[in-house]
Amino acid sequence: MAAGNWYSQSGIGDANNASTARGIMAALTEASKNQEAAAHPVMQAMLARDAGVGQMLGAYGYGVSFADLGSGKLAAEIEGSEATPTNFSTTNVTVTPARRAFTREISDYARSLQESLLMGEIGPDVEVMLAYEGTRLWMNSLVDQIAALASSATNTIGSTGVPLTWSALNEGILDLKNRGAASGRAMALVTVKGAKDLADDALSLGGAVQMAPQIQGLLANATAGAYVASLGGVDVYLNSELDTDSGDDLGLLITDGAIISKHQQVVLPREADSLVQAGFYSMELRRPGGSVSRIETVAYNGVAIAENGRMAAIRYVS
Amino acid sequence: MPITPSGGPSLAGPSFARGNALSRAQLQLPGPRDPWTYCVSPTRLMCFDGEVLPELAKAWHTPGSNGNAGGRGQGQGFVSNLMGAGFTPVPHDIETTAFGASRAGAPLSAYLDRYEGISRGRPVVYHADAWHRPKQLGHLVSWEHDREGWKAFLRQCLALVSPDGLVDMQVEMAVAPVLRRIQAAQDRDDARGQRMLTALLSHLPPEHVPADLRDQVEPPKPARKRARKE
Repeated sequence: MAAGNWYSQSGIGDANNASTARGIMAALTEASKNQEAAAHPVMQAMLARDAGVGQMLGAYGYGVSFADLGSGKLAAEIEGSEATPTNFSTTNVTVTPARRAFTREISDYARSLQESLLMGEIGPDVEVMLAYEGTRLWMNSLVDQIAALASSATNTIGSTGVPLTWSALNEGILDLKNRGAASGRAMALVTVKGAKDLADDALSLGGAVQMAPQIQGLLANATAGAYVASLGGVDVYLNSELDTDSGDDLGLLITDGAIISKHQQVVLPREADSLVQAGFYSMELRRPGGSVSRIETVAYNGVAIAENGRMAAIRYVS
Repeated sequence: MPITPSGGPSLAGPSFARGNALSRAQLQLPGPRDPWTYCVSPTRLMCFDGEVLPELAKAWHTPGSNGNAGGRGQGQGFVSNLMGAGFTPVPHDIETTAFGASRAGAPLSAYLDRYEGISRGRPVVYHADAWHRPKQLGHLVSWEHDREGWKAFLRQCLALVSPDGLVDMQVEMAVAPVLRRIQAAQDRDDARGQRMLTALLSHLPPEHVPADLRDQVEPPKPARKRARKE
């Protein structure tokens, strides 16, 4: 007696749906290192001060005056005579926020991310990914803006045309301390070339330096993200936003108060289709000129060197 | 001096296509990079290929950066901040030579070029100094560097702030850090220390090379020819 087809004879081949199930994940990018830099206490303190200032209320910029206080000393004066007054002196720094934007077309996003799920509306998972991207875009820009300031730092660690050495960085930290700037946390951004220079140099040194715990931190750790080591109290991170200058890489060492930022929050009106209103940046959906829908990530911000003594460029051959 | 006169043409430079291989492939660039104005200081100096030359600072034209206003400007705020720190802006119409050719009449600046290409799949505009130019091989890009032209430009920049030559203090400011690095390299008794020493000595002006290292930089004396024995 015929038993008919085996039930196991057909399986996935009979499926009518030509599409496969699809998950969405954020692709690996070297820009992810910016998240760690942006999360460093030096950066967080800068942003906390930025937010603490609040809205600029119609002003085009935000300024800080640095008053020369506490640097003088009492001078010997003859009894009964008056001391000559010393004038106050101040240094003024102004940050003027400017608009930065990054735009996506929703249809392009849908094609790229939803493909088989395309139904005219963006799904909640894609919406979350858009918001996630907005945060990353803002952070990338902020770190890039700060890294660009290395070429105008008035203090330099290292020398042109030669690799970065442990002793050069060590001297730079001592110079920083000598300027009175070494209080609290410090962060250094270097390219992978700079980190390799440092590691090769320090790990090949003999004696106490080679065996010091902080030098052991230079032994590469694949689980530590972009963080390399804490050398002399300076947290060293790999970064890819750093500038180059005629054959040299320009890393950056900053301490608390070296750089100021100012973000101007643009409050979107009620009729705006706002995806994210995060203060430091916003994301707005709109259909300009009746065209396809776009999502625009926007930040109004600026950065400036507040006090050069609190920072240094790190120069070494590329 | 602004990069272009006010009311003049915008920063739009020449399109990248110039009839070479680059016109057939999209130029891969490191990422976006805004234009800048070089600024030179009489006290920010370095030793480079045996000369004391200025370490230039870049005053970016990026809106919102270090005092720049919000609109599209030409780095006036940034330049102003650097001038407050003793820097002098290098004019964009200074006479320069790069890769053996005069830069007179360069559309953007005597020392900057503008390139359009892509980076990570996205169109970008990248500015480079005139002494670096891209060379594309398939999908790879390498950057050629006119080192001698660059040094000539640095000498021009130095002349802007030290027209009568360098005083002793300036030379010492440039030389002292290199001498410290040399001492550190000498303290290491290994091949790495020797490599550092060689690299550092190549940048130090010969007259400042420590006496105990002169034999490392002086060219070897030609050996006398001996009469061949028959």
